[in-house]
Amino acid sequence: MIDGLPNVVINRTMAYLAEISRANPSCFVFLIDQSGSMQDPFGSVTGTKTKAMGVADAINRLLQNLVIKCTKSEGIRDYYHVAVVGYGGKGVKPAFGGALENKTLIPVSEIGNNPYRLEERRKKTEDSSGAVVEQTIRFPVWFEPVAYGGTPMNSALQQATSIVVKWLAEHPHCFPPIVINISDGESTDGDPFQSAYDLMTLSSTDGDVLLFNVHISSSNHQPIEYPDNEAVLPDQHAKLLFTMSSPLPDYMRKMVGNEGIDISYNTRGFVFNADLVSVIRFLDIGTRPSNMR
Amino acid sequence: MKVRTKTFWLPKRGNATEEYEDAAWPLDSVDCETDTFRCAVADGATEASFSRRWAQLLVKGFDDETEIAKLAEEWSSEIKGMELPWYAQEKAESGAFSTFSGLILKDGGTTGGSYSAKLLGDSCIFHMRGETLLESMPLTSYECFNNSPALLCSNLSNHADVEAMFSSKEGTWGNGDRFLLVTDAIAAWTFKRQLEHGDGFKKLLEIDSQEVLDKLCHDAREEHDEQGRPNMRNDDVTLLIVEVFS
Repeated sequence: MIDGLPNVVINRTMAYLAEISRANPSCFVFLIDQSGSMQDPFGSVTGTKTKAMGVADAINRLLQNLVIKCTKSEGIRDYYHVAVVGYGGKGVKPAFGGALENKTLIPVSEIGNNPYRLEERRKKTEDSSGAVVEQTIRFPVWFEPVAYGGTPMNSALQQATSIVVKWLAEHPHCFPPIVINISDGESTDGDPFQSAYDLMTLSSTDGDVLLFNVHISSSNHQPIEYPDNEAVLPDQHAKLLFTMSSPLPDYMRKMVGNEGIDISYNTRGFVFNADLVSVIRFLDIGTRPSNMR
Repeated sequence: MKVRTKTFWLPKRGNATEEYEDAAWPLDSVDCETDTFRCAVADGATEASFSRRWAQLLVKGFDDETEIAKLAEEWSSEIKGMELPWYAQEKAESGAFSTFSGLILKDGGTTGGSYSAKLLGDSCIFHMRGETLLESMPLTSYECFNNSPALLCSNLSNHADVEAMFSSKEGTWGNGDRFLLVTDAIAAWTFKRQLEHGDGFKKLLEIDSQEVLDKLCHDAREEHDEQGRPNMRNDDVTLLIVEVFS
């Protein structure tokens, strides 16, 4: 616990069992740091991909997977509504491009039907005889890399809170909204703890809102994934992000454990010094549905 | 032998009838004299698309004795013939998935006959004599159910050996025995009810109309246990009742 910061009250009696259905959808809010430092290379100074590019690819792939998860024979079912909010030198605003520009919380069917563009990329797969063949696949893009200015994380968390408050008023029994904040630096518009606390203590009848943090790195330091205490964290910033991250609900703890990561009852949804692999894995675990119908 | 069947089913709560993804064969009631009788249920996986069609092909193919490879080809060529948006194409490329439980009854003369079952996943067959459970296959208790049953994929290249995925069971039946072919939600509910109240199979046997099944499922989905879990998962439900007489 950092001196002077109140401890987050965690309601462990709630179960995260609500069914996710078209009649009772849930929502995801992604907060993406678009500050100037996101222009630095991801993980290693020798890398060619900037952090902004890596995160954009990860978010686009996540949206693609989410759309496909919600796809059934007749089309896309709106099990989720999704917001992608960017924060940087241009302030805090929705980050989708094209037909979805300036829209905040969007049903997944509208996302699937309105990518900004469909890129063609090459992918190696195995054919039925087991031979490796190169295939052209379509890679939908909704979100472009941006890197400029400061890191208004505090305002971004407040924006997430207002999105989630409105959502919960309309969907009081939903599977709790999940907010994932991806950033490479410290807030430049004030201490974000209180804003994070306000967000994490919102709840539906099924449990508290889940706020997870991914701190991405320009260094080659080993990522610290899903810590369960502050002692393993190297500095005050990491400790602050830890206190701003929700403990994992049961079903997510099991998923993390299945990835071979040590878990405990206090494991939190937080990665420090994440490389691109751990960002993608974190997004996958954080958005994998528990009870979709 | 004489065989009488009735099939009752309903989709998940909140879903339309056409979104039901289980399959049963026969779907319509049967009342016939025959030497051999084949029937099956299958539970198309919700997470995939076009699973309903895959489940339908599997149960009908079991009756026709069509090879699974031919059924997979049929599924694939039907999907390729459709004009689909990018996400539907990509989803379909992963294939459809289904459980399967098939039963073959054979006439054995005046005292009864034999049966054989072909089983994959958590759709179950209960062999009943009166109100007594003689055999439950492939699962035998409530604890056996989880969220990741074995599934047969329409992309058969996903499986090293398709036939090895199935288990089988053989036995004999007597005059008036009943076989209940059920998909997982109602199978798990039956075991749970049996465990907690001792009357799960009795309640299952009392289902003699669509209305009775609808009410039972509606109530069981609404009731919750001490852990806050519904007594019956909100899933597609299928019950195929087979009565056999020598």
